[in-house]
Amino acid sequence: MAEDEISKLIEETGAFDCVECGKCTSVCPAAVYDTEFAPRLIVVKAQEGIKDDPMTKKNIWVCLTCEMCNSMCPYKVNYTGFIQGLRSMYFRRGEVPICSQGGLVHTMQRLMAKEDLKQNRLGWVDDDIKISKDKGEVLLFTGCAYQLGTIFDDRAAFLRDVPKSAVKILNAAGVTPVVLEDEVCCGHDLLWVGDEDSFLKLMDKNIERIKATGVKKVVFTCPECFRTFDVDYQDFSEDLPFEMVHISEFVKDAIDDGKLKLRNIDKKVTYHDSCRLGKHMGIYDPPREVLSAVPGLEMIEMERSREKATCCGVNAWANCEENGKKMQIDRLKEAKGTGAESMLTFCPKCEIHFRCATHNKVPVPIEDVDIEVEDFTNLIAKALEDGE
Amino acid sequence: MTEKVGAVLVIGGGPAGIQASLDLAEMGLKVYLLDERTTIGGNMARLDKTFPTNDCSMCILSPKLVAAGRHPNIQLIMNAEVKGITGEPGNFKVRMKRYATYVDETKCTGCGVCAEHCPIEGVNEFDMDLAPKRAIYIPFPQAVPLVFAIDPGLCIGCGECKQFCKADAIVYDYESEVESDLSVGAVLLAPGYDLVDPKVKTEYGYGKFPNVVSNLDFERILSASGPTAGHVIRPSDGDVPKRIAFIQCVGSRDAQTGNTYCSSYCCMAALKQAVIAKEHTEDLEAHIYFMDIRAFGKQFEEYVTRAEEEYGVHLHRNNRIANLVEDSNGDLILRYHEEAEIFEEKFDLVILSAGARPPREAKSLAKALGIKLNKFGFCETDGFTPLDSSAPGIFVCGAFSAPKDIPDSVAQASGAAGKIAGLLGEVKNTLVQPKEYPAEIDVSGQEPRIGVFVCHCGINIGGVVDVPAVMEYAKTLPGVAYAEQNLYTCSQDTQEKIKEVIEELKLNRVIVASCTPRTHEPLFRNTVREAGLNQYLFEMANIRDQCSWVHMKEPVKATEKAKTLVRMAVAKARLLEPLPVSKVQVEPSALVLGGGIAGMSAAIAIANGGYNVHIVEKSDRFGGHLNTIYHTLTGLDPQEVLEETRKEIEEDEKITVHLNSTLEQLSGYLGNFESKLSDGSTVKHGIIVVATGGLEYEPKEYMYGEDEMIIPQTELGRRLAKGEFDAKNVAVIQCVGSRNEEYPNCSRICCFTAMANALRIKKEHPETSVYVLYRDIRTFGFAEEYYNEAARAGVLFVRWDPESPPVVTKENGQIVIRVTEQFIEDEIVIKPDLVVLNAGVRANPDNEELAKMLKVPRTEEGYFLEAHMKLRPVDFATDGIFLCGLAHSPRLIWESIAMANAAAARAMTVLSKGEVESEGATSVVDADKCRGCGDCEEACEFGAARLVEVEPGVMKSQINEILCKGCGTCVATCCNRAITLRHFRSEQIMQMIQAALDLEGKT
Repeated sequence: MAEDEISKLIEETGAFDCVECGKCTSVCPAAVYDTEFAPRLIVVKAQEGIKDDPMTKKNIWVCLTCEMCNSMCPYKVNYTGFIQGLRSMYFRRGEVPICSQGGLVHTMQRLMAKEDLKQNRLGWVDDDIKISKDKGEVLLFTGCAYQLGTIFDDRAAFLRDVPKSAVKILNAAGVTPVVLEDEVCCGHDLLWVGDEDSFLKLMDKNIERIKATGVKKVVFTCPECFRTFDVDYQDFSEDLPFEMVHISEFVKDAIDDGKLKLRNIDKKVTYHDSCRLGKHMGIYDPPREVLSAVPGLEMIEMERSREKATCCGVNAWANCEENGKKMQIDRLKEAKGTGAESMLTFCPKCEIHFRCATHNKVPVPIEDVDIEVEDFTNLIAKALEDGE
Repeated sequence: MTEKVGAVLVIGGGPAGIQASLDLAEMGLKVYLLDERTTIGGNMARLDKTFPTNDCSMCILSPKLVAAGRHPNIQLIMNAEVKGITGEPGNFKVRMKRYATYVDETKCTGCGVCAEHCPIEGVNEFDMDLAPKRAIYIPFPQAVPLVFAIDPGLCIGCGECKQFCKADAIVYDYESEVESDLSVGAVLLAPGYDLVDPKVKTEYGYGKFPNVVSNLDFERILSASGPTAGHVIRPSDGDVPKRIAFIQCVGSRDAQTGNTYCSSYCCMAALKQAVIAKEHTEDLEAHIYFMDIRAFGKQFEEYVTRAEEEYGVHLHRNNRIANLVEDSNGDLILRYHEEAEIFEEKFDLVILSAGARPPREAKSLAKALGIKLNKFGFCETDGFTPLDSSAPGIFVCGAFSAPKDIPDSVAQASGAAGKIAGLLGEVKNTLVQPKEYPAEIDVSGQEPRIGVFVCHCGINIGGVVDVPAVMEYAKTLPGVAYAEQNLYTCSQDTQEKIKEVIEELKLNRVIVASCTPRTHEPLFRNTVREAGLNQYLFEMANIRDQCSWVHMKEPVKATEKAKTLVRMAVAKARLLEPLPVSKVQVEPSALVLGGGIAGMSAAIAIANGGYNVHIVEKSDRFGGHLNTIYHTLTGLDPQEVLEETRKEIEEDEKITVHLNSTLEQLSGYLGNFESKLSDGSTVKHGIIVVATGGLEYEPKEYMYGEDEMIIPQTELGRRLAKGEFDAKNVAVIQCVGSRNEEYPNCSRICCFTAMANALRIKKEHPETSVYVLYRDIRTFGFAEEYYNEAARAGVLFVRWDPESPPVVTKENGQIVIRVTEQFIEDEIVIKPDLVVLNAGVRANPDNEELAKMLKVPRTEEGYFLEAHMKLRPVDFATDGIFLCGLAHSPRLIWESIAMANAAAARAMTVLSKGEVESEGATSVVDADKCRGCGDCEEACEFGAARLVEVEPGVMKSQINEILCKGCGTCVATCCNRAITLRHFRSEQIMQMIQAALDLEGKT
């Protein structure tokens, strides 16, 4: 590995500021279960230029990139960015992680990066909803929820409803969104396993196609797509000429402006801040404000919420193993412990991973963890007032 | 030019403001000491104990509070703030605003009856809101001024206090705020610091988890006079904590809060708190989680070792705790990373070591006075002038210019006083007049005629003790000619009454039975002097603290005890004798030993104050160690300053230069020294400043001297300055000859030097790699920024453990350093073309001989030992001798300069008086009984007892009454009972004991 690449990474992520205090490591959810892993050691070793390359593959792939470390660092070092950079270097050297599902999801995404791909992206659109395929003010970036819902139909089939739910919400607020026929995956997972080349191809396609529509605003349901556009696309290319909002922000504003009314749902719920929407993008309040606007809905916070929320245990399909499962079980226990009937979240990955944890055998009594995992966007769609 | 004003406004009444006020007042300047609070003492008054001596904070501070409170040249202006300034240095008009306390300070006697009857309870900010206070209150019992104040936010105006105040001190209809102007020649800023609010670090749950407290909260919990009366208990359930943790760097070294500086004191404070907590609870387990342990002060490192080895305090290096989780029991769980493992620990109580932030009034002060603040909001100062604010005539000291601990603050305070004395030297004694007393009445041969004044102290004493009965009883005692009772014996009208009675009834002894001599004896002594009696014909009986307070539930027994105390006082009074106070003229000149930057700065400051100075330098050139330093961390060139200072020394007519010269013989004492110098001259001088500096350690380790590629840091500095640096790969080894068995302490300056050199290399030779091999980085205060900058510039920091230090070898012509990075537990191999040894500081070996001549103590490492490590950093216990710079301990350049100014100021408090007075109550030797053993000389801390050869072969002890403090140690030491302490003579004490045992009162 080229030393100047590391130096550049140290500079870009502010890692030179690391004073080796260890806050990142003591708060790291991965380090709790895997004591060989320590964010600060990765940075310090890289800084010291240790020759025998102690950054074993295991180490950097163990990172969940949840940014708990970033949020705690007294010197604002971007550890997660550091890991991302290292992963790209490793990937270029051909050192790739073992991914779950035999790398199926990555393969699907790489396929989309190819020039000659013809996909049926809008198979879920029906007459109940109004969309535009080319021009408009607002674009809905649907992401891979539909595809994931298909791949994981045994545990998260409800994901297939998410894009349609999103359009329903937009329609209810008086918006006919543009939805692209040739939208491709945002590239999040490829970027986070270090495959920068494929990621850049996907990025270019998406940016070019969205720019062509002339929209002023892009709405996302998936926290990963949202982060990838807002942070990574703008890092790797240039400032994008459209506003990017998360659907929770959109709904909150629409409610505030009187454009959207939600009907009664009698239910106790709790909310899981996914790392991308929470720690990465700092969106904590809008989802909570939306929930409080649903009459009859009782929201019970988990002890570890907002910036303290724990991780779903897997990042970019690269580290699905026993520690991830422990994290999922712990989180589900916490959610169940609130007395809520369901745990809401926006992130399809979180939903799949949590569902997966209880899909087969669990090491604890099932009644401790059998809380419903529900998609937030789907819930809002259900709460739309009839006739709108 | 406008006329200068011989007065100074000191803003802030913490230890720095108090010290500066006392020094200025002693130099003959009028002082206005202004504070936002209703009492002086600052944050130090809140502390339980102080490092590194574990002295009780209040015990050492309280005498200073009292001294400032009763000094005739100091006027306290409490509950006030500054609004604006006009004029110029030497003659300012300062606009100030005072907020009403609704209590007449001239009438309030501090008895406390008002607070007893106040029905309203709020929280006491002084006790960090952990204890209650009434709406009319004093924040702590030792408060100075001892004047109650009404908190307008709490008071409901019910009138209870007014009804019960016998002194009629409560005035509800004061204007709530009054503005007025002060005329002063200079302003000194000493507003100190405030604590970072730990709530901003939400991850620690301060304010949410009851068992998470701040370091200042914990001081109050440890304090015997605190909210828990010194019982270490935790807030949630009052249980005694058995496992406590300290989390360091809360709001320091933290970019999230913007406070990227180091607060300098928290490491030592946490160690001290851990040690003291263990003294409270023997089986307590204390853990400290920190990054670097910053024990850079004098003998601090030894304190760390003691805490770890003797007290078993657990230190967790490189560990800042990320967050705390509370369990259902109120215990706190934290996680940390050590030896490649994550540990989870549960604690009963967690203390957050909150750092310093600028005092809350910083912005308004800056606006009112037109001074600049730095980017953190502290007062801006320049590299070599740490005591000057950005506005001429406005000076600064203490934590307001950068977080620092108490001795550094106190040294700066005296230093600033010295600078002000330079500005206002010509107008000293223009606004203060020495007090004139009538000629003393000769009472020799008279029978005792004792007057006894018994105080009710409102109902503070009278509510428990039967004061009329005590008075009547006093009348029956032999020798008592008169007795009366007073509502408040300390009130102004009673002082007049006492004087009248002395005159009318020809009283020749006076006793006041009231409160404590600590606060009130000087007042009454002054009264009897005004009536023409010698002040030692006065005696006090403390029937408040020892009777009405401690026996408040047993009035009959309290009254009996009061009678006994009065009987004892009378017994002693019968034997009181007038004690003369001897005076000696002070030779108004100074001898400064050492011509480094400290000695030169001290000499110039004293000369600026208007006194002649002899400066003695051993070598042929001024500048000392500074001659070898070419750049500082802040990028300044010391050679420029050195050149200017040298020129000043040479051109100042008041300074006589003695180069190539040393002190050969010293005689005399405070005010009257005579020195023979090796250049043949004999010098008379009133005081001595010791500024003999230190040396750079010559390494024995790391192959030093065996290869020209291995050099000390001064050589690196020289090469960089002279353009002779051409290395491509530099390894800098820290702590060479410091923090080891031979020399246990930290040399303080080496981390600064390392950063300065590393940054210069990176700036001028960006392609050169720099490794700094360190144990702890100790860039305290704002220097932390340079550590960050060095890291950013690509300097690589490798931490090593003292168990496995770096190994330097030469292999095939190549220097190779192998070092185990403590943190990643892996060996790193560096092949440098230049190895820089950051060699520590050593005490000047000449100190040994000099200490014998001066009869002053040294530390084990050979530095001179000051009178008190916390509050008297530049004084020796022996009066008239002062110290500064590296003679004291390793210092940075600007610290040495500030300290030199401090030593100069302390010296000028003596020189400005013209004469010094002795205590009357001093020891005296009966030469017939003295066998010349010398035990007294050894025991005397103040250098007052000396063995003198009175005839060939016959040694006798002589006690210099000017130097004697009357402590009595020599009396107790003398095996032959040859020494008597006047005013506490054995027969006086015996009479008191007999009186105490004789219940009939007939002795």
